[in-house]
Amino acid sequence: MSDNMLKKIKTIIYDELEKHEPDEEKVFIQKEVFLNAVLSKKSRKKINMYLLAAAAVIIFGSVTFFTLNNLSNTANNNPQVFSNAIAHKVVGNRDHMGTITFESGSTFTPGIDSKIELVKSSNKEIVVRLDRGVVDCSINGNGYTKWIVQADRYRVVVTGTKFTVMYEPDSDFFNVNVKRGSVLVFGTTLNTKGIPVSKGEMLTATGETITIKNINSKESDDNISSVQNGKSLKIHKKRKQTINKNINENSQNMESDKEYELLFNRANEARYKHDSKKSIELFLELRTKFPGRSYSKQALFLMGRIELEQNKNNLQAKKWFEQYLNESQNGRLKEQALGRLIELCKNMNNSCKIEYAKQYLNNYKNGTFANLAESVLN
Amino acid sequence: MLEARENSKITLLKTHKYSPYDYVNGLITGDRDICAAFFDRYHKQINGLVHKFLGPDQEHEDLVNTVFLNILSYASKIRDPQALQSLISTITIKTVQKEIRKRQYRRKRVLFSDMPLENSIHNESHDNPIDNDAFTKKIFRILYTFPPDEHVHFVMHYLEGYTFEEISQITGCSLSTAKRKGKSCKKRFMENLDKDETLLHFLKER
Repeated sequence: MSDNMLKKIKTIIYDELEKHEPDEEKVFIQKEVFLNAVLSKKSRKKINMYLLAAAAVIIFGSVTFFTLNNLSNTANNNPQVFSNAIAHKVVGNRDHMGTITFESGSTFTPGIDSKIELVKSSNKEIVVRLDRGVVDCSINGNGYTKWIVQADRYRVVVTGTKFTVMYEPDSDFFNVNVKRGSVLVFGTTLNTKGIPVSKGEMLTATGETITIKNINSKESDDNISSVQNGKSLKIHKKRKQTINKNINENSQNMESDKEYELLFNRANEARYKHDSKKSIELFLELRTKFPGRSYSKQALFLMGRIELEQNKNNLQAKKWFEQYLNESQNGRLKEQALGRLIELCKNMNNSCKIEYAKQYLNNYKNGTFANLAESVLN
Repeated sequence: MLEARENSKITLLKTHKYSPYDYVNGLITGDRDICAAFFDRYHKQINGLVHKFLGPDQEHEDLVNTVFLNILSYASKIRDPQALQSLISTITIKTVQKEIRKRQYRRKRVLFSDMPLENSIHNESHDNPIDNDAFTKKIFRILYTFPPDEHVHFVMHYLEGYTFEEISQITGCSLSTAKRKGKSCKKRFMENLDKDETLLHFLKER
């Protein structure tokens, strides 16, 4: 039954589909579309071939040029010349062991068994990395290009001078010997602003020990050594005052900052442990030692919270919050302090709740405590 | 007898100017004349196949073009040009299968509003007697409700007369799967047919 039915269906459908066969016009369009696709495939193939040929010519040309260039450099013993006049146009083997010479006459000459690499060359900045050994630098600066020699974490920044940089990564030995002009050495642990090294001076850094000495005069009383935080610093007399001052200021600031943060963190730690007494003591100590600083102001608010949430002392809490509002009128916790004051006053049935609610709604219409403030006013 | 054979050979050569090897080479190199001859020779086969799978369809021309483009891009991979004809059928069927799958996906996402939904097929009015055209459309609308594989299997086996071995080769499934799908699509089709009194009445009258 079903097979007969299927045969019938097949006959009907096939008869009907014959009527729907595409007419000549449609077939013609189909053919044109197909032939166009054939044509575009062919032209795409041709373009690909041309591109391939062009790429091959370019690659072959560049390889030949650089090979010949290197050969002629070796033959004439001429240094490789890079141009810093046109930024980002330095093309060549950057990881090389030869002298790097720029059009301005600036040169970077590596010593025996030394490795240097030109890592950046632009109008603003030229960076040469010294991986190991010695590099003799002679910079003819134009005033606006920054010349940098980078040896691991150490950076020697110059604008026009002659100097030698030595770096041994195994022993972390770093040495700068300035023959002309002056340089700034960054990356030492002592001075983040950079240590200035002038003509005739030599800076040596081994691990945490940094020494600056005048190489023109012999080791004498002019050379002064000082010890800071276990680091020995040997410097020339002329530079003693500035560097020592910087070091002292920095280290003092660092120490006080450390204590400041430590006190705040310890107070907070006690607060999280619900040790309200210790926490308040530490916050008060913070306020005494570092008055006017941001954590000291924040301490008022936090003490208010401790009194309110842990000690249930509404009066004392109110006092801290009010003091916070007095001290930091536009503080980032003002909204929170005002909101909590409304809550406090409402609990205490204090009339000041209306004043705080008005103040709150004036400043924070859509704030967290806006509903509470409105309910108080209504 | 020999003369007749020779005559038929000559006729054959005249009809088909190019051999399958020429067609394949022409498709690869992009020879316009050979490609035009290829189109002339195979467009009826492809048009017919697409029609048989999808019925009267608005996107018929687009689909045929897609099939030709697929053949063009596949030409460089053809290993046996003698099997060109069966390869064309396979590419056509695969293209159609993909299209059915795409349409079904779109229909499921209610993006293809012109495609009939399963429930609406049998709910049409039965008052007016249907003609061949309406009958054909109804049959294809039933087929559209099938899973794409079953739709293709039904047309291939029950309408086009492919054996299950051939179907398994073309669609890339196993012979047992082809048989199982053939059975299930027939069952599904008969169930749908039984639900529709108009179709049954029309078939009884024929």
